[in-house]
Amino acid sequence: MLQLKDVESGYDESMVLRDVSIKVKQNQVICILGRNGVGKSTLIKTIMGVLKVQGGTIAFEDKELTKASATIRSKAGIGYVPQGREIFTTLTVYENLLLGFESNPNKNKEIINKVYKYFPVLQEMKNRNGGDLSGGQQQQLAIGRALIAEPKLLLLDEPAEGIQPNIVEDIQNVILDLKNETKTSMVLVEQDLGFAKAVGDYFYVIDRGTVVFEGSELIDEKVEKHLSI
Amino acid sequence: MEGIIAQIFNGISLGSILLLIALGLAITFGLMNVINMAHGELIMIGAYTTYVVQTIFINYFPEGLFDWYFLFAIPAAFILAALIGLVMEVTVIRFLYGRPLDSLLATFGISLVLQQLARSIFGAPNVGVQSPELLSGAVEIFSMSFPISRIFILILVALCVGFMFYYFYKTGNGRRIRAVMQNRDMAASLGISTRKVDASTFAIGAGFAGVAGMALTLIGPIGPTLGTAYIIDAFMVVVVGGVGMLLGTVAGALGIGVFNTIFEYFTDASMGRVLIFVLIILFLQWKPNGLFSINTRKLD
Ligand SMILES: Nc1ncnc2c1ncn2[C@@H]1O[C@H](COP(=O)(O)OP(=O)(O)OP(=O)(O)O)[C@@H](O)[C@H]1O
Ligand SMILES: [Mg+2]
Repeated sequence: MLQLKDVESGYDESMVLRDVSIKVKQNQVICILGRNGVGKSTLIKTIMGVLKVQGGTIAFEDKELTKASATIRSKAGIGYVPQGREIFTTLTVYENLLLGFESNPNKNKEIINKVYKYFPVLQEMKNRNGGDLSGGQQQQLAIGRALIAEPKLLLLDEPAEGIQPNIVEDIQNVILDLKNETKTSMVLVEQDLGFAKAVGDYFYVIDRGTVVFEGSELIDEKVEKHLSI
Repeated sequence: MEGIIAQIFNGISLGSILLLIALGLAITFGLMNVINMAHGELIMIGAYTTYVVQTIFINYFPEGLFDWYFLFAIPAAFILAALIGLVMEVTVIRFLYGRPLDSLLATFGISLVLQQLARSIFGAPNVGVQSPELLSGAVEIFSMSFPISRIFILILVALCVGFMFYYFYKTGNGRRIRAVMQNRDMAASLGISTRKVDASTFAIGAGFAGVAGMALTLIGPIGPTLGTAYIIDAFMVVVVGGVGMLLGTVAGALGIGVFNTIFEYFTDASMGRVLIFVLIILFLQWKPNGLFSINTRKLD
């Protein structure tokens, strides 16, 4: 459903990604692995449309989206949980969640209850400002907000980074639940190899801006030198 | 005692006028960070719209209805100023976001064009708008008299502020605007059209400038350079209140209005003006971000 062909992308002067080709099928969870600073978030932002593609093509469900804005890609069914969480700190938790409906043609508020079931703390704190939440709670809010859009493809950039272990477990359970109970496809950037192996159907290892390994099985000998610090 | 109450009323009344001219700017400058030097001309457009609506009422409506022209003038001033603001945004401003110097120069150019346009259409001399009978005169309370036009402006400001708070904090559009102004990329990633939000927000800010222009016709004659007299005050109010904070704009306007009146009471008009500037400069030394500043818990 998502296909990147020879994608190049980066920031103003510096090109970060070179010749990246990636494919995501319906219902599939693909994991992106790689050391710090190799371009994982750059890749996710390029898929979302936050960064412009400098070369190559991106197609989503047979639609050419290479030049499309993030707004259009979101409406096409791509959801995004960024690495920095990027909660709207001056909006309430509830307002943050409502923004999830912007790209969902189905405006039924029932979905919010589903999110509350996953993350009860969001219901308890629904009238507080997003900025009052702890890092872990903000991460839950960022995921909840993305789920309300009911995306066909969900981009998750290190959802467990810098979060206390019990919340990490909650988040991992939600990802597993999405994988098993819904048709959502996912692109997951993950540092935790164990969890990546548990949830991933296909793996890409990135080093210095390009794909150095891909496969449906992570072969330790082959990926080790690209992952160890 | 009566003197004090009268002074307080004058202060609040001045504050309400300051607030009205600053409301639109609180949106375009405070929220969107566009230095719009043509804000004053949008006020001027609102004033001339009122003049035109009045002229139409005089010429085409029965005399008994004349007093109600101002009820039509309010939405007319808002809509016309908003439309011109929209055209400005779409043709010029949108290319200049994040470039304060460029937008300062470009909007200064626009302000000159709009002034010239007004001169060509209405002539260079000031024109007077006749206040409706309803709003002239004064009410007497405990042997003190309060001009009705001033009271009307107070109510108009209160309604505008109330409407603005409602729009920004209780409606879907307001939510989208706040989201885009805080984090454009994330808002876009959620499917919000940032282009639409920018254009409509700027137009709303311009519309409020138009309403201010309508109110100014109750105070004095209007001319092509009406706006230049108010632009400094408008920026002053927004900066003192805290850029980006609607509540701050309200407090800033009333504070400046009251202090200005007090200073003028004890000295004279130009000395009062000097003192208010000194006070603002000292205040900004103490609180560079204004009365209210965005203050949320920083994470990571
Ligand atoms: N906003 C930016 N402007 C310029 N360069 C950037 C920017 N963000 C990231 N980079 C650079 O791009 C490269 C890739 O960064 P990216 O954030 O994609 O890495 P990452 O793989 O996600 O790392 P991490 O595991 O730490 O999240 C880095 O060299 C980084 O310095
Ligand atoms: Mg990253």
